[in-house]
Amino acid sequence: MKLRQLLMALLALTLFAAACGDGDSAEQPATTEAAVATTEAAEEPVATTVAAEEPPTTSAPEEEPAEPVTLQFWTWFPPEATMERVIADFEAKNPDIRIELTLFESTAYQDRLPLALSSGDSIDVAAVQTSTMVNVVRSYLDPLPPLFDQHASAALADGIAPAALSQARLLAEDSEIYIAPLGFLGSAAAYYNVDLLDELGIDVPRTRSDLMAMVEAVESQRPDLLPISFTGANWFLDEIVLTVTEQISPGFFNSVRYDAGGSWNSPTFAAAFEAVTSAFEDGIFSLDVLDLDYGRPIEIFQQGGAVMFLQGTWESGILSAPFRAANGIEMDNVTASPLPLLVENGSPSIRAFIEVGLAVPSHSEHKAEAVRFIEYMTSGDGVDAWVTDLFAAPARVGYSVPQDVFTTELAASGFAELLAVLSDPGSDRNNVSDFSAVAGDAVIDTIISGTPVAEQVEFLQSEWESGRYSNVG
Amino acid sequence: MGKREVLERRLRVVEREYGVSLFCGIEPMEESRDEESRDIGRMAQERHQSHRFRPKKVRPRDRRAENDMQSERAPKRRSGRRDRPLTRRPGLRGFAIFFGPLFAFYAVFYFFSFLFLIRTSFQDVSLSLRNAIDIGWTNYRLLIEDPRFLDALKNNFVFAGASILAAMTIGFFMAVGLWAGVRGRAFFYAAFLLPSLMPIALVASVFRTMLEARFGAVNEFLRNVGLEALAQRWLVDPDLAYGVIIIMFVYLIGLPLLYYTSNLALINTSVLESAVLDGAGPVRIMYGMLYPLMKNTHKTVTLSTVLISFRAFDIVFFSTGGGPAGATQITGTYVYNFTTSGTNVGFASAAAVVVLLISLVVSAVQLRIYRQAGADQ
Repeated sequence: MKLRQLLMALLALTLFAAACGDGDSAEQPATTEAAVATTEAAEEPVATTVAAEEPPTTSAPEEEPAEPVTLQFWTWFPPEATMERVIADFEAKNPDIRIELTLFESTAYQDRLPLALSSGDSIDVAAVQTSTMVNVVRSYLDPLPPLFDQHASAALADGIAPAALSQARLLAEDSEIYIAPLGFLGSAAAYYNVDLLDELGIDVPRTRSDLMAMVEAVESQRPDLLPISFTGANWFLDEIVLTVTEQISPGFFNSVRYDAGGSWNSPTFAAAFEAVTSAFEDGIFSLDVLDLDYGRPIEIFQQGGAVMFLQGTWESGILSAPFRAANGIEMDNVTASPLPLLVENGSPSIRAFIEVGLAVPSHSEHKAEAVRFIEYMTSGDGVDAWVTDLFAAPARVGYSVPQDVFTTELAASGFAELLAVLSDPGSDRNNVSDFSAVAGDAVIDTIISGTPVAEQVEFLQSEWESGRYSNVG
Repeated sequence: MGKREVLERRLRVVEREYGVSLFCGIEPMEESRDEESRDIGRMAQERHQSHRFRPKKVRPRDRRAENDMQSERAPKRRSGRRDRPLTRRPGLRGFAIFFGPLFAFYAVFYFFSFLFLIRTSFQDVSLSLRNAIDIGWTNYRLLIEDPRFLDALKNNFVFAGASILAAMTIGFFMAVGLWAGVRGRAFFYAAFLLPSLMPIALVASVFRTMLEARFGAVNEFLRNVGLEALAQRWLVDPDLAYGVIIIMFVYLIGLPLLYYTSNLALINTSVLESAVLDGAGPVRIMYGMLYPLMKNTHKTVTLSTVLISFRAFDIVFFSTGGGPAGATQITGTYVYNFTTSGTNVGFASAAAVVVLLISLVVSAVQLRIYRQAGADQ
């Protein structure tokens, strides 16, 4: 009897629970979606949706306006504020297209994009990091020239500089063009706090001896300042050494990278290696920078704690008044130059390459709209919208940066100097990132442990040939 | 005596001690009951003598409950449906329901991942996982020939060794101090356990910022108090950076502290009382009695610390980044750097497989020691 009562009670409870479940079911999907959205937001460094407001509904619509096509755009660059501005402008000019932006942190994006493409995630426009990433994902992308011929207002080659397209072609093993680059980036470049230079009574340094004079002036007049601020991360020390190789012998990096007779144990590379490590020994570069990660040198420079700052041309935004205003940067008297010559008888140079390539995944269902957006971003009005940040020199044919982004003559002339070397780089900045870390570590090792340069360059050549790094295959 | 009898006997002791019934799922062993009752009686008597145990007053209601429990435990004549045990051994279905989700989880997230890693470790393949080329043992050969990987592996064991040393000396001492009722016990628990509970990435990042040579808080402080000579390039000098990582490992000794504290709580205090009566001082008690008494905890601490060192990616990555010049690199950061900056996922997979195999060997040793310890007890 008790057992029967127990069973009846259990049955009643089950029915009650089922009834409650039905009542809640209408709300369940919404809750789940919210949870998923929250989780995704927590996982992604930045995942922002930028879309135009919904078109207002009319009380008696006689003709339903066509539903705008929504493009899923994945990228890691430009910054969110810039992209919001660009997308708003694009949507205003193309009311039949909406852009849903998903913005990642750079390293996370490098991991995520290949997996997303291989699993068929809904992406209509994907920004692709240049160098090795193009080959990694090209099998999921459509070649761009035929798509442009079909859907764009002009052929791809009509809107984008030939140098940019040839570099884009170089990146794919099958020599197809899968990406339309936004612009060119280069490294290493130098930025200066002009007010501090004036206070010290010195000009923009051009040579090693100028740098030495600047450091001595800082030490004697403003010892609280860091003369030259830059990250001591291994990859950036490698960038500096490679820039110096281009000062000595333009085209050196290409000769090694593309197996054109160059080698790391050559006198040119050894001389550049020696020039950089001895700059630390001579006190031109401070050992104090070796423990600064990427963000700290920028902070120090922007807060007036350093006279000079070294980084790639992607940090040129500091020369732009709109960029400084948007990012709350108070310093307003800045200029730039190529890296001062660290060797005698050299000439200013840089390694430059295309960056932020926009591509159309093969599985996209909105290829026509995707091509219109890419055209807008690379060779259309979109360039005007993002160029004020100066993170890249636009790849658009015949484009010149509006001068009203600069508030001083020195800022404008500094950027012009950078553009001059970017348009005629010594070599491609087509990096082998995994090897770059090893090369940078070799530089650090010599600086802190005194390992002979000759030993280091032999080691690097043997590593390059080891088959462990991305230069192979 | 079989395992079942040992288990049953232990449960009986617990039942008697705490007045609860633990035999809902185990059928009593009729033939050993008398012997067991004698054992329990003897043990209780011993405990009574050694602890000067005074039975607490039993209220009438408690006594009634105790009688009920004892009558339940008494052997019953069983016949027909009523005599069937209320619960049965879990059958295959019960086993599947209980362990199925766990096995499914492991199958997806561990076994599949492991098999995937093993497969790709024999391939030349990029992150897109397309157009893979089988290259045999090449990735493993390249890995073993890489001095950076071997250094990273060595660092793993050095950092683990330093952690073990710290755990078995500082951790042990702290645990005994806290267990002995030192003043401010709650504060010290918080001070030593909190770092282990906080996100390690945060702790490591704070360390990094504090230790910057020019702008770090540590050097600023030293300069301000006139100890400028002590201000160092903590993260630039390889030896100092190595020391910083070791200090961070030591700083995170919360887990060993917990192990020791929990084991100390199980120690029979009568042994210590006897030692005190015999004139043993605190140092003698600590190193002559407590330390050997916790030999199994030492083993647990040792092996778990070695395993933790293989997962200490965030400590190194967010403090020194493996630098300077790879001096503090561990296997975790090595694999990460190759995965994120390179295109040969196969090579990174080979490195991951080797690290995983080493971890499995350490785990196997740990399990064996646990079993041995259980058998000894």
